Amino acid sequence: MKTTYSRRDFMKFMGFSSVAAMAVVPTIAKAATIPHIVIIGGGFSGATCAKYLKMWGGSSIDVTIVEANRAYVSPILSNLVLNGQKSTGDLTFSYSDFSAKYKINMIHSTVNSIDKANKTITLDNAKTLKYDKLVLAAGIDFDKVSDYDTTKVPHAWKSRDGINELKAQIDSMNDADTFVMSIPASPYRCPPGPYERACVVADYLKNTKGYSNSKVIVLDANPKIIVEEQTFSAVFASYGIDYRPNATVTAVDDTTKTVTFTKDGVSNTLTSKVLNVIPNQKAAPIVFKAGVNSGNWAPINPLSYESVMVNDIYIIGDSQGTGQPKAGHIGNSEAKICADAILRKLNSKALYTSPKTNSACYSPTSSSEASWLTAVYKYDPATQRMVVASKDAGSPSTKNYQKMFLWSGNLFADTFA
Amino acid sequence: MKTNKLIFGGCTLSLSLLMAGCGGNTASTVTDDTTTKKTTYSVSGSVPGTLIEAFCKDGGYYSVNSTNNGTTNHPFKMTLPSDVSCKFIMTTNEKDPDISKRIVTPLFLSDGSTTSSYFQLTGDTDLGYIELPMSGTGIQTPLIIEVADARVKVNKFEYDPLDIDNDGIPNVYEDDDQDGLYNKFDDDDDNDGIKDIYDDDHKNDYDGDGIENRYDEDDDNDRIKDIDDDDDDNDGIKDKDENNDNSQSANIALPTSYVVNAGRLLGSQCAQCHGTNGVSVNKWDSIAGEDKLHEEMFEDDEPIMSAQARGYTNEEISLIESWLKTLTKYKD
Repeated sequence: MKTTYSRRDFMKFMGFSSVAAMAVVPTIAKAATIPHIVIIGGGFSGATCAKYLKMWGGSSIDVTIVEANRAYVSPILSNLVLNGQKSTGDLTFSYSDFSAKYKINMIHSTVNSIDKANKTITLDNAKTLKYDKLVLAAGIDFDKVSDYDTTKVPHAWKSRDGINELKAQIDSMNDADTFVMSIPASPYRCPPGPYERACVVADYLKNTKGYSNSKVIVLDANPKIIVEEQTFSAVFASYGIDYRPNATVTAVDDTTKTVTFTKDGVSNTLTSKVLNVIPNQKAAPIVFKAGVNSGNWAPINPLSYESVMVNDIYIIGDSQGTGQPKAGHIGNSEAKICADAILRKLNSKALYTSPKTNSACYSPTSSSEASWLTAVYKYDPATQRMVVASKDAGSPSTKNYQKMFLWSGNLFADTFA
Repeated sequence: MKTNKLIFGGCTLSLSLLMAGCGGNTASTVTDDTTTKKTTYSVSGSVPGTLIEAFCKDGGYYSVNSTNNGTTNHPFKMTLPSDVSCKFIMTTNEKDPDISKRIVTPLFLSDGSTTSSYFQLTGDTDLGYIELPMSGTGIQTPLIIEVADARVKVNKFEYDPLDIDNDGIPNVYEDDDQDGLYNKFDDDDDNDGIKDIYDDDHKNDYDGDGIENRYDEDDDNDRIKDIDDDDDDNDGIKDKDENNDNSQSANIALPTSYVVNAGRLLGSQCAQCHGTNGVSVNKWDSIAGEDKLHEEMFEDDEPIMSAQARGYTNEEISLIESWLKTLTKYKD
């Protein structure tokens, strides 16, 4: 028993209207009546943007997230996977309830190309999707250091991929083995993150494993610790971490776990048991494909996050090129400004001229203590940039370690629930 | 919470029930026990003897049979919610026991500029006579009808979860395994011998309406939204007693239009730590309903809060407070 329809018939019908049922021949739509906002990427900034667009714009808009993964694994708190206090499962968020609750369309696919003139994107199944507004929330990409196998030398900086591998490698260390990690040149995703990682690993080897002869060596491409300098230099000293600033990684040997780096114009090598190279970073590939980058990042108008280069394309989160840090909390923050600006634009309202964003981060420095860092950013009309309005930092304590989970709990819920 | 079973008026069961329960042409507002108001409007018309089904973008499903009044134009009337877009599938020969002989026609509407299967009602409307095909079998090419009534908004979506291959034929009237049974009537869509409800590799779609449970606000198509339904899969076992609970996340009310609100925009920046709309998911303070925000923000027992507070002007704090005051105070 076969049904008799054919898709070709339907397309022909829609195209020629030759068998119109009613007296008036219908006109085929020129434009969608409901504006369609397509968001590429379902991380902290993309998911927040979708949620707030629907919370504030409701049925007046249609929102689609294009995200390759069926679930999101948070990089926030993922250093606690390394010391066994969290699993990647604990940090995984499903899109299913979220998308049903806010009536967001989810397409699990990757994007091949963007046609800016016709305002369409092409997915990896060759399907095209038309957009009225396109939001790029696609995170980061890495600069290439040299040819090596990233499963043997994981960066563990995009979560699930490498974090479990790095955990397994650290667990294979014996007393007197060396852990070497490198910190990329600023700006990179999550400024305190690498320093935090060095602390968590040193604490784990020393206090959980009980190794007194293991070494942790940190190669920092920056001239000094770029955030919470007092906190991290004190904690590094307490663990005996060998910290080397101005050290730029130039080559990696994944078999011998040897890293080559230049420091003060001189080339050096270090061989380790576990090597964790976090390469320099730039905007996600789709930003370059869309041609909305200037150098490594995407310049935007901080009142809306719309590209200053191409209309109707917005860039939020780690790919955007303001001076604001690149991290999940502030990605969530930027997403709300962007969502509101898109809705204002669609409703012919003026943009809000004094937006505020904020960043906050609790960083574990051991299995029982955490420090924090926070800042508020305001728009400076003179320079048309976001500048710091206030900031502060707090030293490691057990109280802050507990508050870290209250902070992340509400941040996760505000983004994915 | 079975008390609001009549949230959709039972209007979808049969025309006689519809006439008895939902007569009248004015907009009716029904209230459920959570005091959410839902506005509905009626859509009527006439057709050859027909089963009329409406599939709505939020997973709602409504159906009605036209009334045989002795003529060839059988009237029908259906009540649909106003806050969501729906599409019609009309089936003539609908009583033929051989499903393949039923004539299934997806309806498209055109308002002169937009043509789409989706429409949204902003008032009661009458579509007039719809000339459905009476010969042929199976799925027909979609029929486009002109609507000149401004109370019918034609909405076009770039991505249609009810028709994922965008061929004009809703998922439920596709025949994924080509066994001659539309998915709708097929309890084993992929023909692997495992009934859909027990089949892990089959999409989880308990009611076979083509909308996966996770997108479906009414998993068992009993016209009780899952949030109000204590037995989502209609298996007689209450959700709370069921291990394999497929109950859905809470539904929230979404607006139908955007309203500028600077206090809300500024206040949304509190949510990263204090929860969406000021309702915390843990023991950190909820701030919904807060009316002493100036004092609260500068209490010096929490240095991370003080650091944030210093970044805001008094005027901004007042704007945030005026928005927070509109939110229901959350009791910790």
